[in-house]
Amino acid sequence: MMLARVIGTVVCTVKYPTLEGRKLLLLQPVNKDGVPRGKTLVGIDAVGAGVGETVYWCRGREAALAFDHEVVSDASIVGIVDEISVARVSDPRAHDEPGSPAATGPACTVVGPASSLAPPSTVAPPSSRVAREHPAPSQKRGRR
Amino acid sequence: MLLARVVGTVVATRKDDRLQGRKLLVCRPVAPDGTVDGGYVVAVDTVGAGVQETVLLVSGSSARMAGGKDSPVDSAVVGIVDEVRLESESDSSSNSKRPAAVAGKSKH
Repeated sequence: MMLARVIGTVVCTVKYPTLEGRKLLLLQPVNKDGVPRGKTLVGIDAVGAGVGETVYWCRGREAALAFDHEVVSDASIVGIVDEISVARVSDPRAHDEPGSPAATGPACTVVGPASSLAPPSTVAPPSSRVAREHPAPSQKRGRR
Repeated sequence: MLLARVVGTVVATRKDDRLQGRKLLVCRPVAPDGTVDGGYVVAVDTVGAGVQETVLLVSGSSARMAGGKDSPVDSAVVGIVDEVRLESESDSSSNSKRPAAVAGKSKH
């Protein structure tokens, strides 16, 4: 599923019979920050979304599953987004890792919270172990 | 689904039996403002669309459903677009969209 912003509506008088009564909305895919990414497309509304709202939508075979079997849809709006929360990498050491860009991937996100406990000396050994364990697989991944 | 403009037709005498009697249209995906935004796609027509009309193009398994049961189709025209309304447009500027869409309709 992907995020998008509803930027308009599409009106079709003549359409495939199973699309009768369905709301067609113009979608602009966006990233987590709301920045437009990719081409606009038309999605069928399954949740009562409106223009100006951020929604999530699915494509492909699954899009038709949002409706009855016979609805021909390859892009369906299946949810209205209230809030987006994205965890940030807080560990500065994550940027110092000698590994490939893969080293800044999800593994580092996991390392971040653990190493934030580093200042207390009692916790330092386990957290440093965690920090050492995680970069290792990501470096391997980078080499492949 | 994509917005597309019908730019031509395809005639094929020898084809899969399940495509017999189906009209094949050459379409070009377009942006909401009507500018061409992609290459050419051959799609099966299910709504009686014609050249120069703005249409809705569906692809993948949905197109197969529209094209008839188990038909070898991965792109189908499932709607003729009358109007595209953009959020950012006021009433005055939305008129600039309508001619493109209505132009297609008037040729019907």
